[in-house]
Amino acid sequence: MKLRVLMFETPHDGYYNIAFEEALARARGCNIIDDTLRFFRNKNAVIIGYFQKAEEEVNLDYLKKIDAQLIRRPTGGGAVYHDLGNLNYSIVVSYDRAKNMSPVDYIFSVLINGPINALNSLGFDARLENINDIVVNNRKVSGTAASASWNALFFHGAMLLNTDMEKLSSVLKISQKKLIDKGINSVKYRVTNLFEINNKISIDDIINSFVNSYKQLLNYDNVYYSIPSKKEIEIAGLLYEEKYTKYDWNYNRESHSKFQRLEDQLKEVCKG
Amino acid sequence: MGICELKAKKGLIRVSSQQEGGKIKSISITGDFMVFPEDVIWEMEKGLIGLDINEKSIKEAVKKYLSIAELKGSTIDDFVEVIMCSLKGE
Repeated sequence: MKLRVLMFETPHDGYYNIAFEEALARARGCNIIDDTLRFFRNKNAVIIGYFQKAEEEVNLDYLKKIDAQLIRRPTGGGAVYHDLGNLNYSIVVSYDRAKNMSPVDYIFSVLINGPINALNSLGFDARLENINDIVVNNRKVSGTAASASWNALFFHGAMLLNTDMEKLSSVLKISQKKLIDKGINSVKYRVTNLFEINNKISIDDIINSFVNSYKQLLNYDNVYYSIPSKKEIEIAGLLYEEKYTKYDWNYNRESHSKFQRLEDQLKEVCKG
Repeated sequence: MGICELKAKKGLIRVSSQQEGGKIKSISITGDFMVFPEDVIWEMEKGLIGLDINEKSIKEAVKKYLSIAELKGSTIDDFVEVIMCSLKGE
């Protein structure tokens, strides 16, 4: 088994970056690509979860003020702020990997160890907290989310390296219930940048440790670096044009099934 | 519009609902919870519309949709509680 690594990003166009996330899951689900580990960054964007409504999670006036993009992703979980100080990672693997447990349990008990092992190999004391948060020194450095839709196991996360914490805490609305539950009064007291803990490591160190971590974790024989395939680009392009750039998707919390014409088009690409 | 929030073990569940003549007129379940497959939430919203507002029928409906789903960090009872809370709050 081979692990494909994709360093593919469109930082100025977060809509395409996130459309490509769904494209990865779909492309793996219809066997167009090998298991793939992707890294990407966005320049200035807020990414909200699939079940979230933009106005409830984001300070829209501030979003406008800092000229950030707002994009809804295809996975659950909470809103995150992305700038170039935030490294996003995603892995998509064959559905058959989950043999003795449910696909979702496989994601949150096996795939989630990829970033934890990677950080520990760099000397951090990383651990899993509360199902899907990765913490170092009791501060969250990475939130993660997943989907088992589209006949593939898809897991992704955002890793704080040197993100602008003032922008992060100003643009995200955090429910008082959540803050009380955590015993803090602002999200910035709960999260931290990895480079604040160790400023000697580089983004390349982190990427290399992720690749090695997943190679070992999932027993791949080989790792190869690649570029997006023609079909992946075709799938991502359809998702970008028909869903991820649409107001109904990003702001009105519409489900995938609302985009039926797109679903039909994607089925055709998958078949062909 | 009744709005209620519940902090589950993992994630916040927020329900906004409207009722008319003792039945659910509209309902929206939002938040940062995790449910798989994801689209069961929209199916459940549709299935709740027109339902009598009593805990028994709502619990049955929520169970019907979520018992076939996988919930990470929340329970069926969490969803029932926050839906009932939003309906009482209207």
